[in-house]
Amino acid sequence: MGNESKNKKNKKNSYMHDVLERFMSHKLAVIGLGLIILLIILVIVLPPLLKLDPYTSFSKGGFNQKPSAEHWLGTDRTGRDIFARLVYGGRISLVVGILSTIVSMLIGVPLGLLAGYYRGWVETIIMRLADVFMSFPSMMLILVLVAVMGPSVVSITVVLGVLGWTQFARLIHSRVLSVREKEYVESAKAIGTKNWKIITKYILPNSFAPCLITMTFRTASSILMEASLSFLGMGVQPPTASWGNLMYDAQSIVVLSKQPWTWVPPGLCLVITVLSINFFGDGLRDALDPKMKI
Amino acid sequence: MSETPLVEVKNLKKYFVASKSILKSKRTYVSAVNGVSLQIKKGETLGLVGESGCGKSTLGRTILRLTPSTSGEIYFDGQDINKLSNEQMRLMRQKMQMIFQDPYSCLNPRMNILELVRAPLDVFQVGTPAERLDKVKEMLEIVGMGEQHMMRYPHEFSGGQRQRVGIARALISNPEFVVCDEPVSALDVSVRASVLNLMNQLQERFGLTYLFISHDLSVVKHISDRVAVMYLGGIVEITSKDELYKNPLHPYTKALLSAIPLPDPEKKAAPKILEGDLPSPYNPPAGCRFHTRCEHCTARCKEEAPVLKDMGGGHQVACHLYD
Repeated sequence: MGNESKNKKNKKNSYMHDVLERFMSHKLAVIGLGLIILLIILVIVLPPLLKLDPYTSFSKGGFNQKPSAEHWLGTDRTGRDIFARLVYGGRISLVVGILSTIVSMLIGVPLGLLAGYYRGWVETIIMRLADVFMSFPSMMLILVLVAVMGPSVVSITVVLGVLGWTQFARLIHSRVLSVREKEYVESAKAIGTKNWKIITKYILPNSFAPCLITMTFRTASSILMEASLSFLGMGVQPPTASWGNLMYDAQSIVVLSKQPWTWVPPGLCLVITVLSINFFGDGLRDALDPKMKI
Repeated sequence: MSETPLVEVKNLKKYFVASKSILKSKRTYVSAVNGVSLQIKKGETLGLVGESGCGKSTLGRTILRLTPSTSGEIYFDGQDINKLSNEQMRLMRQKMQMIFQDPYSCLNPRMNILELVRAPLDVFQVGTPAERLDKVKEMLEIVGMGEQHMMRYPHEFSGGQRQRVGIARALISNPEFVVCDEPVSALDVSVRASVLNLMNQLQERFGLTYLFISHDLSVVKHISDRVAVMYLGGIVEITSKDELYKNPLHPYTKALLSAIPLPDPEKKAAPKILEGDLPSPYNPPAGCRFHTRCEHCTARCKEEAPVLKDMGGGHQVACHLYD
């Protein structure tokens, strides 16, 4: 009996087991995932542990200090500790990236499901709307919207999130078009299942996997987008720190050439984070469906 | 067997739009089902045979309103289901169910056997959860699956086992009418017989009425009370099983029956091989749709479409030869 139940469990989890095995064989993806987890732990744990303070000006030793034992990455032109700002900036960058992706998904997935399932005029309206959204020059649109709403962490998250729905809607839509023709959907209709139940219990679970992959890539590009906006001064506003606005100072030639410790670390963090997420996404894609290419 | 039919179809038509065009006159249609009328009595099995692409499955799905019909009437228990609202139709589905052809794709891979079989009860909130669970166990027992399989997923089962799950799912809500769309054609021969016997037993036990769609004449012979032969969207002959196999009237039926392989090597089968292929349903032949392949074709066949005529004893045939 014990043996049988063990067997059952093995069989049931065989799909997840395969996925895990394929994922683990993708070295870069595993490293990427490790780095992402490490980063998340660091930005959560470091501030209370090291009593970091990103807002107070330590003007005792003067502004624009070089790295020292006290200030590991020196201080900026108002005398704030750059290392503290780097860690707090990481929090903001990751939160904006992840939250805006979740917003995109929450808008895009239901719309894609409706468009794919009902077809007809519902599909026409939703998918043409997506086409319209995708034909705007996104950077300009984001700049205008952020300017109108006033630049802040919330407004950036909302704008990036709302504008990102098209990717999810299109992806889900195309998946639903194939899933809805499956016999099990017809058999659900034949037993009298309500439409919303068919969508949530039959169609969504069978079309969601590719969204996980898009979520990773979308998170990476949102982090980059937030950094670009903040670098331009239209994103997260000081005193709140983000990796983008830490590099804002590097717009001056003096800082760029003489004080690399102010802008190299946030730049490096950004590159490593985005690379890690992208590698993780690649690995996830190969693991979930080796035949699929996005 | 009572005399009033449980299911009656009158002049049912189903056209699919083959090529869209903004100009309505330029649209082309495929007539998958072209003016079918038939009756199925309570408790009987009507076999529906025909070659691939003749519209058998479409007819079955249209009778259940899984695909909307273009025109015609479908009476179930005296009620025209084409006139029901979507919600009324949904409630009606408790009484009319379907068993699907492909046991590999008709079960949602993300639901376990318990959820799959219980789904028709869940949809209509039949009884308490405990009662539903008991019903599932009972139904699985009836179709020959132990309740120890309840927590497993469809991919862990063989084709025959999955088809049993499909049958349990179709029958758990106590339907009166079941459309079986080639339920055994995806199964291998040894499993086929056991599933067919199971379906026969269930029919007796629950007083079911079947519309049994198949392209396999020997399967139809095994399970049917009456048989309808379909060719290119229309029914060409319909009669009791014994009459059809003993005394086929329509040239198409004769050709079909002569092609059944005989299990006796001494007897030489002499199949009448039909000339040519099934004509394209985009552009079906005028007159009798079978005239392009019929050896008895006359000038009248090319112009006038024959209608079903009763030849006595409920033996109906659509052919000008029998005027």
